[in-house]
Amino acid sequence: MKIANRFKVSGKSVFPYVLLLPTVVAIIMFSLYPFLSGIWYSFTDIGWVGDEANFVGLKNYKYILTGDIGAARFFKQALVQSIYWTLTAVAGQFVIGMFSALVLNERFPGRFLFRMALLVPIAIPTVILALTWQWMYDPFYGLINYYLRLFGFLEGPKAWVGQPNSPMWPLIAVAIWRGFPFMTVMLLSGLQGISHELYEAAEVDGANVIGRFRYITLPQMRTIMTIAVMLHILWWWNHFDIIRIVGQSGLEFAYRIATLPILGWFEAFQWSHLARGAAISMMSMLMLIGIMIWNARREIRSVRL
Amino acid sequence: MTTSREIQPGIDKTHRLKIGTASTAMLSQIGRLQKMFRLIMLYLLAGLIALICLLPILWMAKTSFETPQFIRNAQVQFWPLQFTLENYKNVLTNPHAMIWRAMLNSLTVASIATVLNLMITTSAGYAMSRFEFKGKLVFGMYLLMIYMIPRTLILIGLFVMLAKLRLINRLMGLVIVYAAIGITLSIWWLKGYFDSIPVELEEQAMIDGCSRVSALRRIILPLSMPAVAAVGLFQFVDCWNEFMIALTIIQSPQLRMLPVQIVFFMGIQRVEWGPVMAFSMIVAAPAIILFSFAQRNMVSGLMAGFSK
Amino acid sequence: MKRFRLVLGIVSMSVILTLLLAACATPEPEVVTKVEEVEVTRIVEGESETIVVTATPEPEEPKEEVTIQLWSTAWFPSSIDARMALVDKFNEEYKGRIQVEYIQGSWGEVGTYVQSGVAAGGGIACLVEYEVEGGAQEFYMKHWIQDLRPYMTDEWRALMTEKQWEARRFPDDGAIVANGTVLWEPMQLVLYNPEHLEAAGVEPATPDNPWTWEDLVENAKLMTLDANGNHLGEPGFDNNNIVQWGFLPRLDLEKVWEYGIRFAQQRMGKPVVRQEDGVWGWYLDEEGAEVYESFLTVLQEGVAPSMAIGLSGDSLHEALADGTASMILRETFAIPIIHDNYPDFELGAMPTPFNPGDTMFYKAGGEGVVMTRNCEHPEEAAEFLFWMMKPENLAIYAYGNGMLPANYDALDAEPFASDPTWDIIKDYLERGEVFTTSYNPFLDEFKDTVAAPLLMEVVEGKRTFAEANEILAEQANLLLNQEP
Repeated sequence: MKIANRFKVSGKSVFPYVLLLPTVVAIIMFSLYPFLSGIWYSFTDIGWVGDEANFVGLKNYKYILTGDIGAARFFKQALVQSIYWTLTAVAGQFVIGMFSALVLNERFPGRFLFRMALLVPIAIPTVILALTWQWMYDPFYGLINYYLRLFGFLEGPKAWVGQPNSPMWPLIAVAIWRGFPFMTVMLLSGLQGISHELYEAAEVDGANVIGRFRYITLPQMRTIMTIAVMLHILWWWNHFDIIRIVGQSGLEFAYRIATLPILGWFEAFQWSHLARGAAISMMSMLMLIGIMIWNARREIRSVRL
Repeated sequence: MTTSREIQPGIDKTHRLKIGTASTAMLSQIGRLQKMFRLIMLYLLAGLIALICLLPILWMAKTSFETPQFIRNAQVQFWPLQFTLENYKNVLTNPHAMIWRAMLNSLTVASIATVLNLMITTSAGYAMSRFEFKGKLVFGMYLLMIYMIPRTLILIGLFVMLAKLRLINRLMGLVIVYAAIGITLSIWWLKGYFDSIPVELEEQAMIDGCSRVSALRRIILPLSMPAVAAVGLFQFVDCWNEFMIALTIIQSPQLRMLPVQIVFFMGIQRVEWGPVMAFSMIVAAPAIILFSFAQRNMVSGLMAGFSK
Repeated sequence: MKRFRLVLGIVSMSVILTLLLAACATPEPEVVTKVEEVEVTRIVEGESETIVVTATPEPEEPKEEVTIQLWSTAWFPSSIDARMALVDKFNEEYKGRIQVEYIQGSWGEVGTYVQSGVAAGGGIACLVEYEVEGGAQEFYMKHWIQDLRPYMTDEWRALMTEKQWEARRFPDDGAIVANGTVLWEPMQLVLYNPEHLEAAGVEPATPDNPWTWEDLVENAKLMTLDANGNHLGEPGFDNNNIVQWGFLPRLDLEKVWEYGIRFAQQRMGKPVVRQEDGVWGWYLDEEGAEVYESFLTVLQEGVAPSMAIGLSGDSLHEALADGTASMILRETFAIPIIHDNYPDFELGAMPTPFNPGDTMFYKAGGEGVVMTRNCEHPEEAAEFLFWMMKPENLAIYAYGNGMLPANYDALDAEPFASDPTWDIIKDYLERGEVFTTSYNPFLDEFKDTVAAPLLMEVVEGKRTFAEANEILAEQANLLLNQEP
């Protein structure tokens, strides 16, 4: 992979800025402005769209962090849930993704067919996959319970999702299913960049499959693994749809599976406290940034040096 | 991507092994068995992965072709107990489903948004790739930051802003939002891809007398077509599948997007999984087909993009 | 290659342009002018004669036909059919003056719909169906809908009792936020399988001979059978092999609140969440608490599986129809749904438990149709709101919906008049007394963050009801008295 030489541009040339202009404008209007609005709202007492917004300083943040009524009751729990959800989902995606990437990296005829199958979970709209998984989790006629009963793990009907006391992990299973193909694709691209000679040399030196994996694959892939994991953490921390559609029925606030984004949404749109919802989302974002920075600390250190 | 390590040239021990001919024949026998074993293992494992990926789809397909009475049945299999097309007929001719209208809307919005997005991000990606300019690093970090903002936070401000611009409940509003949302990811990929195209090509062209712009047009663009197409396809599918924003912004039934229409349709057909799954198949099919077409290009494009 | 790119460029440009033009179209509701031939009745020499005339746009027409849209939240076939029939009837009667266009909406998306409409400055339906307490009241508070008082005539006002109108009044300024379509109380019934009751030798409850909660549980035990036909409480009853459940309630985060409060209020005659001396709170007296606790702890009696937690209404219908459950707790609208989905199943209905001799209280309120803020034809919309409340019309709507009409006179019209399953409800109305509640904007938050989780814990046996009640009272004082 050749690294492109950058054209050195003297201060006079305006060309790159021209090229970037539309992007900048679009981002300012549709990302930055709403984002700043959101931040502003979190410092006001606005209840709903159209309400008046008076500045109240840090009141919302104090309320959420130290209060114990309303949404504040669930903040810590939602935080824990968010961490649990993200960590488990991404870990699962990584393990299965790595496994798939290793398998699909090998040369064998018809490989592209399997790669095509891999893309299916990404291609499906979230709504549809939520509906399908809901149907699969159906307590009486669902696919999953059928096989569980077949293998004797289950006696009668059992509902895995959509009940007030439903656990989180059936949803995590859906998340892993949804997310691992992308991980696979990214890891695959990394794998294909490792030259074969390294493997051959290792084989000659007597390394078996596991050894090769540990001493060649992993180190070579470190950068791309970090990027892939970070990207997935980012996506799945903020994820909303699967929990909302598969895990909840109707407009119920299923407090046992609420993550921070869900809590923020409920606070903003259901309980008519737009400002507090914005505050929750802000804190969610700050935590995410914290996690990402911690994850990428090695890279940052190398940049500094 | 890190540079490759140096290995000692010229030493390839396998070729150095000199064994008698008979043993070589036996070894090749074992070698073939080993190869077959490897192949079988690979097919099994890859098959397992493919099965996991496709299981829900197969189930969805089966339900959609199943006669409604047999959907809730203790007997579970992957081929319909009684094959029927009536679910599809129901969905396609049901005036409540409004499926054709919704499809047209989704198609319109996704296409225009993708084109807009590509126009913006191709030039931006090129700029990020080829030029060193003040504020480049900051801009890169800034893009990353934008990507991290949770949707709930943006949704509120976005909604208010669109309301002021009178873009609520108009397809154009949705188009603009979709085009804007996909910017970050597209720029990353395209930049990565442009990085992989050697600069020498442009330099050569410019030496031959082209201006920078025409070098861009004649050389870079054709070369990057596969990657651009792949990114475009990804954006298209993203727009096709998007739900939350479409739900919030579009209210009139004649302007609804396809995924939103499913939810409304489900409200009517609450118990019937058959028509709902049929509807889902119809919505998901184009996305899956498009994705599989672009599969080759996508993977190579993504590969290039992620080797930062 | 070059030519190909050129062609591709031109084609894509033209496609983009066409699509752009299509996208820029604003969604104006189409004014209905499709009629080509019109039947005109002319009065000629005292006799009316009907001739067919081709309609040409006549500029001298005094008033143009106005189309307003009705966004409906009907969600099962017979309710949808009923609304559409109603709309057709209206269009028939008001042809040439007002036409109503029926739009299928969704119950879960009403808030988003109305909010977006307001934000967009219009472009949505004039009329939207929704619930009054958590819906229309809230919308009015947020200035998303209009006050109906300016359009109300005395005739219209007379179509519903004052108490019911009060339930649709916004407390601060007395505005009427919605008309009256159907009521939510009394609406609760116990639907049962007559064969099971017969087999167990149990007489169904009637309004004159009601069951108490103890009776219900006892009878349910008689009908909770294992594979050998033994019932719960009999020696030799096999707990791991239950094939028939006596009583299946709905116990999820919504219902522990909705149903429990309903039963408690039925006993108390006052709202549970109300103001005492100006302070909002959760006030359950002893009787109310008793009923609430009985409802919540039914699972612990063993007459329903633990899986009953979170079961949907549809699952309940299914369980009843295929014999897995003998009795289910459901609302009146379940009756048409079960008839539709399980036409061969014979259904019985009996009143919910209450102490004989008690007064049955029921709360005013329910659903109504609101007029959105940017409605372009408020007068015409109001006309529809008034028209639909007339007995003969409301009967169509309410019957299809399976709920009590807000105008009691509609119960005497078809199709209510000739349907015996409605007798129980009619009896409730006669015996019962109505009370009203007041609106508190923090009710949803209280329910979601405090009440539902706590009550759920009681259901699961993790907490006693007394404890939960105490905490609820305490938290309610804090939450419900916030400044808006």
